[in-house]
Amino acid sequence: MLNIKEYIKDILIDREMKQKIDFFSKVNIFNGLSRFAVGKLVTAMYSRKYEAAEIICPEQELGKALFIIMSGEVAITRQSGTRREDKIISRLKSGDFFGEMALLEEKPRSATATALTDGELYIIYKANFDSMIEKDPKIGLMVIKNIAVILSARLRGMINEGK
Amino acid sequence: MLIVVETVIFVMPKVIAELNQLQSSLPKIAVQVRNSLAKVQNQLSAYYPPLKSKNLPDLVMQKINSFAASVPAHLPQIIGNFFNFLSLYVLVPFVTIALLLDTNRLADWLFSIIPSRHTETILSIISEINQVMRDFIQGQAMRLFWLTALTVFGLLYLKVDFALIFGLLAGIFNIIPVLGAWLGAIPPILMVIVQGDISMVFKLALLFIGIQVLDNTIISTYYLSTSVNLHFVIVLFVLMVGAEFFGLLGVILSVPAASMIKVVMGILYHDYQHKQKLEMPQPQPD
Repeated sequence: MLNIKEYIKDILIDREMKQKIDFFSKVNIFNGLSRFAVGKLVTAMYSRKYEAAEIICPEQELGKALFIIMSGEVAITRQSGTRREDKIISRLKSGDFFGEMALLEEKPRSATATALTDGELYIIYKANFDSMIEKDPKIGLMVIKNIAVILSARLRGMINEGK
Repeated sequence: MLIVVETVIFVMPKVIAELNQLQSSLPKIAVQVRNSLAKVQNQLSAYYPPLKSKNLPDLVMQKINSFAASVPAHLPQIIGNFFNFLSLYVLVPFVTIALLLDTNRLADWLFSIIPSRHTETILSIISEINQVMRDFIQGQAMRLFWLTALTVFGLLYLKVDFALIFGLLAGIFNIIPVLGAWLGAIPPILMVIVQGDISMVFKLALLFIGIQVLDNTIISTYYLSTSVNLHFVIVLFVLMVGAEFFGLLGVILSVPAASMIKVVMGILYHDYQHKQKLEMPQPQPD
């Protein structure tokens, strides 16, 4: 027998969007946001597929966007020492993100992001995020608060390493 | 937006009523045109006597009548031309704009042809273009709404016949930047000239000049300055170039196109400046 409730759900609900909202709701930077707010952010995102070894954003280039890894792995490297050799700072996987400081200010990237495997990344451009903050300050406030928490944890970690 | 929709719903029946009234008034208008032409012929004959022998009103009216009689025979062609005009000057710009606004597809395509290290630059260009187009369309729609409303109220206040039709026409003409405002003034002024009300010509001229001043100083500044942030002289130059190469379509689309080019150039120049700064030799410590 035809299940009318399921049938109407099928018509009204965009399954792809629902899956995206499920995924992004678990990303740290969107902690505390309602599903509706996450949906709004998803509509402001662009996606791009990367192949292994492709450079996603090079060190010193102007940072204009936040990247969220949907699938695949990404290496964050930084040139160090007198030979300026690339040193891997961290390996990121699905659900991780990088470039969050670009949402606060357009400054040169402090590290290079390179795709380690084939994968897909979601990108939020700073100006789009800014206009969303203007329209819905509650969403912006929550995301910026989350970025502040992440940065302060990172700073605390660096201080502890230095001790 | 709701105000605009409500106004359209409220105004449409009145426009249809005016169109019916215009249809029934056509014979009367034809007589007025004939009388006006007879007057003009009398005045001109004083300076150029050979004109007396010609029957100018009858000649013109014959031309108009033969044109009107040929309309039913050419109706399919006229309808075809109308839809051609509609598709070229209304659908093409709207489809182009809609495709531009579908930025995800545009982004996918650009991402597939441009190296990944330039992703952020491409993204900033697409997003800024998208923003410019959105602001332009919204701003233009609101500007046209207020210009149409002001023209209709002005014409109603001056008790000009067919105020709604002329007001809507003026509003549509205002899509064409700068020149549109003056094109919109021509039909009502022609009508009052035919009706022989010369004092009304001055009143109408004052009304359209007043609306144009309001448009230039407040309405356009408010609605379009943020999106089409171009100097007036550049707008005029761009319009001339658009008209020269693409005709009416160029006139309509040249201003947003110029605005997009400005945004893209701004982003590329900003990135270039940043690269130049990186390539500059760092000062060595003493």
